[in-house]
Amino acid sequence: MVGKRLDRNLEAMHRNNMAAIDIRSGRGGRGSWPGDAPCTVIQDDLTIIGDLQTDGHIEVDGRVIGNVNGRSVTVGKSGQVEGSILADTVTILGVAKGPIQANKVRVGNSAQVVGNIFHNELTIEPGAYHEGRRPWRPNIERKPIFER
Amino acid sequence: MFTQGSKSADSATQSQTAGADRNSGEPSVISADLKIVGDLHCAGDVQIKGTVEGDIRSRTVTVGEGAQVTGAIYGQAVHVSGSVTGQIEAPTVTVARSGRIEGDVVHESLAVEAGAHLVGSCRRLDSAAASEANAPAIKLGSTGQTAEPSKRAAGGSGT
Repeated sequence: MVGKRLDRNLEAMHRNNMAAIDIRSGRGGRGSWPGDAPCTVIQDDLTIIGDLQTDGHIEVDGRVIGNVNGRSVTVGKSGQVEGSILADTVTILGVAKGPIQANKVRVGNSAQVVGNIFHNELTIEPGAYHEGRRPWRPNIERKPIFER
Repeated sequence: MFTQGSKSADSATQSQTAGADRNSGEPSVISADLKIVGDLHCAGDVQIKGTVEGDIRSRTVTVGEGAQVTGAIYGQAVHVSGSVTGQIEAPTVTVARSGRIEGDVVHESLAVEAGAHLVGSCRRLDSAAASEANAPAIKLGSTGQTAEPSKRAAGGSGT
């Protein structure tokens, strides 16, 4: 019964946050996001070697070798991030190597995470792989990596 | 739990490298608010509306209005409506009216709209340099260019 409720809650959370993006297939909406903030989509054929910073949403279906700083970061099923992720909300469905710091962190069952997850709210779906610590923090501030 | 642990990240890396050559068909979008300090390597299409400090290698590169690229752009087709500080090297280059390029444009086919801001030399891409320069993405750490490196990104304006 608890399992069913957990699944329903996860579905609702996914719907609320990912309405433009199909989580199961990992394919993104065309860079559009319901709401105000701009959305960056890194498709599966793009590799970025360097740091990313934005005040909007980032969806990584490709590869980022560097640090990612955004309001909301989603690493899709084909996505791979090697570096730290600092955001308000992080959803990992792919591979993440490096520390993750976010107030809300969701790790899907297709995810493989190596690194510590600093969180205020953490959800790990059954089947997810995580190697690292999961320290709780009362508030995680999103500090910019570099000057704009 | 322990069988999950054997799911190492290496297998994901292999599949990801294979996926990097796969053409997704949809362009990657660097939104207006995003700043990237680093290089982009893409096998498909990239639309840039934000700020990139670094090189871009892709099949198609579209620098949108308001975008700023500081670094070289290598591709098959490059469309510039924003600001590029650095060399552009592609068989097809189009510059819109709002485009602003400070750097050399190495091309086979060049179209510049009236009103575009172009500071730099325009020269042709001969076929030998073309096949080497436009090799598909993911060549980490090598420029692979035969063009004079001293002219890069300094906006060498035809001295």
